[in-house]
Amino acid sequence: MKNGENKKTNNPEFWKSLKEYYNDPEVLKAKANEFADGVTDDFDPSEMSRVSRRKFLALLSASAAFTATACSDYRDKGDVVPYNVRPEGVLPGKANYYASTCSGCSQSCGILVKTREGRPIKIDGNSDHPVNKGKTCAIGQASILNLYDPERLQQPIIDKRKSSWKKADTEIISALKESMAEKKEIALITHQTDSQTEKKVLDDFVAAYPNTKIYTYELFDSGNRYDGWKKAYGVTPLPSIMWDKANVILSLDADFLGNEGNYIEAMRKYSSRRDAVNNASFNRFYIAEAGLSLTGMSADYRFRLSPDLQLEFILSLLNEIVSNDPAMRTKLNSAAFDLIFRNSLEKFAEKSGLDYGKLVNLVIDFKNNAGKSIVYAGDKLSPDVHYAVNLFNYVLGNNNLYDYKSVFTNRLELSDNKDLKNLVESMNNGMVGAVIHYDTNPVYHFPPELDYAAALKNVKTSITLSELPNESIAASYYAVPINHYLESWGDSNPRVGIYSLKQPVVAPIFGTRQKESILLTWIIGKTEAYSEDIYHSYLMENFKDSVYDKTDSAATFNHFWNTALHDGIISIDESARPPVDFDMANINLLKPSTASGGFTVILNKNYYLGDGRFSNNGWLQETPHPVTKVAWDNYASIAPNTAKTLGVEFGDFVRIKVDERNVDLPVVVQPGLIENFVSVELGYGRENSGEVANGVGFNVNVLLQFNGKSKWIINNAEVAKTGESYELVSTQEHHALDDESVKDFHKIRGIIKEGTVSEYKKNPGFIKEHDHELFGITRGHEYNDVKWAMSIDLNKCTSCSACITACNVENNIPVVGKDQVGRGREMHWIRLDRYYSGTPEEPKVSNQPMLCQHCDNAPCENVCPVNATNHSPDGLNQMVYNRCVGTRYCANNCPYKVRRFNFYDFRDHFADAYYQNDLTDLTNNPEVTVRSRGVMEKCTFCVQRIMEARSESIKDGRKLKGSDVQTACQQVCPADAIVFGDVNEEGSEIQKYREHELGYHVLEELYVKPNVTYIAKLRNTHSSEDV
Amino acid sequence: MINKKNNRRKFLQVLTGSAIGIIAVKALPSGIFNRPKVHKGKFNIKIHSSAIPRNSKV
Repeated sequence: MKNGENKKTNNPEFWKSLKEYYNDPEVLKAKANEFADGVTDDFDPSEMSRVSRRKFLALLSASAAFTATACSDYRDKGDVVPYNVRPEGVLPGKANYYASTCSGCSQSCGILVKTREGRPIKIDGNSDHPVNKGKTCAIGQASILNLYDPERLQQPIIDKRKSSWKKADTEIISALKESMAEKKEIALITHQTDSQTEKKVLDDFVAAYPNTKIYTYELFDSGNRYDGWKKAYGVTPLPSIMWDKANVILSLDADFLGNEGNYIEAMRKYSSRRDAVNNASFNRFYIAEAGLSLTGMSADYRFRLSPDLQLEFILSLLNEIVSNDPAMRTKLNSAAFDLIFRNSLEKFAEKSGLDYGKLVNLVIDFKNNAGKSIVYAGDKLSPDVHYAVNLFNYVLGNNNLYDYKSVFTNRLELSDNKDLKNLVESMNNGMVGAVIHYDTNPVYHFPPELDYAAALKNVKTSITLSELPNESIAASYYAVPINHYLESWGDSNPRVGIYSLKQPVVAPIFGTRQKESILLTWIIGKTEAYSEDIYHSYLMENFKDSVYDKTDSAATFNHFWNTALHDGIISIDESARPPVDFDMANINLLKPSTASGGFTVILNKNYYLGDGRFSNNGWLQETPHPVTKVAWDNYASIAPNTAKTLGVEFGDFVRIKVDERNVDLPVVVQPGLIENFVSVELGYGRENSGEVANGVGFNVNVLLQFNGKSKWIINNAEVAKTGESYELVSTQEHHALDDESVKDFHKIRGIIKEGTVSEYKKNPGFIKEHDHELFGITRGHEYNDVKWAMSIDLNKCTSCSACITACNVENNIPVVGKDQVGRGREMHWIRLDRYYSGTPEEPKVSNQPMLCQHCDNAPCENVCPVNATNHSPDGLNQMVYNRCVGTRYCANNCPYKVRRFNFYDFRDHFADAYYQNDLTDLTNNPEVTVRSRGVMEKCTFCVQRIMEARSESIKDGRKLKGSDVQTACQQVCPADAIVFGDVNEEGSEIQKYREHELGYHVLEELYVKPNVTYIAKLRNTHSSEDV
Repeated sequence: MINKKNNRRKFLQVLTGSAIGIIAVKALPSGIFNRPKVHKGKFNIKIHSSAIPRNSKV
């Protein structure tokens, strides 16, 4: 028997295959041979592979050479060349600041522009400016990106072909002279301006070309407000409002904290009366609005009211007040009283569905605060409503709150609708020889009934002056590139007595010219008349005549001028005199609007894109809407019940039809709106406007109208579902409010803690009543030196998002695009969480800025496998980008979900690397690392600013103080809601906030020991409503 | 050397192939290899001589 053979059978006991088991002869033969067949056969080289070792090496080296060449300009950072001759005043590594004036909107806030090595990198408010006092808005912050937009026009374009200034100037001057000779009109279309020098240039242009007519328009203007004011007080200047002195505020569809007037100033003044920590006496804020605005989110009481009923509302309130007050009644004449007497508040409450009890409380509040309250109507409401509001304020003595030391100026009257219609008719009739779009975009902005684009084709010479390509540029024969405001000289007179200057913080980057200089060249009529200083000299001369000569300054003009440039602001005592009498005669002209049969549509200005001029700005497109949190699109906001009736949900398309005009928009179901109402925002649906702007959102300008009392409020619209849907991206999840798992979760988890003023007065410690003691099992680290912490006052925060954009600019945060925002990958280090409570019809809104809490027991630090995130000795949770390998465990562990991961190198990824170019790279803050793919990032409490302050203190030989550092978000917040500093510093602001009885931490029970304290929001409701 | 003519032919083939490959890759609309050629190089970043910074003495 062979070894291993089974004794009973001939099969082997151990076998490797079935063939072996069954004693296959082939297997047995193979076992007998030491080598397999073919092993010992003779070697034949001709049968081998043709690729020899030499060939293989040749191929390998060629591939390596090819790869190296293909990658040759990857990550090419260029050369670093030191100054041979250092410009005076420039120290590499140290920033220079220049005072200037922002041109993001018509408010002309004073700004300080931070520059590094000659290039502007950040815009902040000028604290010397009496109106904005060191604050800017989201648009002001992000406007720096427009300077470095790669699609800026760089040279004149004639008939779609690049040309030169000489050719453009020659042809345009010749065309203007030809229009004069042919006695044809030269139409110059401009926006309003508060610059007296710019106005002088326009006047000089008219003097040089007397056939010129100037047309002034704005997509969103205060024309109705001015009309109402004129009817009440004649042609007198419009004063600003002393919001800080108002005990009771009633806003009628006025978004004065978000979008209208100088909301920076309004926010500062309003929030000074919501300061619980400094024991301010809280104001009481009522709002009556159709939609849910940013301002409406802050109100103590919200009445949902159609714009058609606003006139009746204010008259009913006035009736209720004066009926029982003989003293106030004497201020009215008999006609006025008769009209007012017809409006009963009780009947109005029944008609409108408002809570009569709350209306009575409103009346009581006004009576108790006559002379210390204010009613303010929105820009979109008709002049009649504004007149009625002016009457109300007059009767109650609330004109005490009109600030005649800070009165608005108005250089250019807005053109009538009739003027614009006449212009288009003249264009169609060939009576207009030349049209100049003076930094305006009428092809996009004008209502469709004008058919402006078609009329423009009938004009021989069409010229558009613009920074960026736009619809009007595409329709014009001559495209003339102008400077960004950071490259421009200018002046501004936003209020009577306040003059601010604009100076170029950088010389024009491209071959652009200042728009005033272009006009001056055309005025002189010779191409060689242009020089870079032409407007500079003109401005200085006009400033001397109009400002210097008015002051009693003992200094020479040059010294005065240099001081004005240095400070940015000149204040002269030029307060206006208040008007004496109210003109009651116009009360007979008041006509209440007829109720709308169909839907009411309101066209709103977008908070961040304005009238569309910032639609090519990625930072602003990506900033989530303060109410809906939608980014990268506009939409139709409708109430939940209306959505149910129409059978639509979030993202479904509806068609809004007004007369023959219609537009399809995706829906956002928005709690808090009135029924049968649609709120839409303009500024989207751009064409020919840049890679970022094109195709984003929908152009709703088609709904603009000239008819009716207001061009933005449209009645009798038809709205119907189309059956299609669209992907809208929102940075906040949309849960049904009645979903049990999420209903009021922010209250149950203590993320939002709120109360009322009366509750707080009765029991100041009510916020901490249900807190329990927290235990740790280890002894915590002791911070004996500086320990950084932050506090955010939820009473003051209005969710304006200036902090988000300021943080974006300061920390080089990339734009990721709609697709990535839809996946929750937006890179904002600070976000504004918005929570609803109450019912979908009458929601209460709570806003909470959320950023890295820099927890002492940070759950992210323990789980990083490579120790890329750790804690600094001064209490900061640090991030070491080059250690991070991208496991994302830290983000997983963060209870606040504030960590942002770079899923892509977003500079390459966004819009085919639109922002990855040498020009836009210039906007980066050199003190902050630009993060690449695969690393985690988050708020650092502006560690670069802390380090800079620390170096300064070491250089000065002193101790670093908490007040030496301001984070970007703190610096920009117009409401002063953010406080930052050293908690170990005795008597510091941050210590006061941290220890305040209204202070709490979010998710404190997790014992992560966060260092951001939130001051609980108090709503100033009537004590009778306390539960 | 053995097959000297053959070696030179192969070398030229590889060289031509590499050149075609590089041109093909450069032509691809891919972000990494074909970043927009907008504004590569120096810009006119110049401080305006008449601007007055905050740190100047007036």
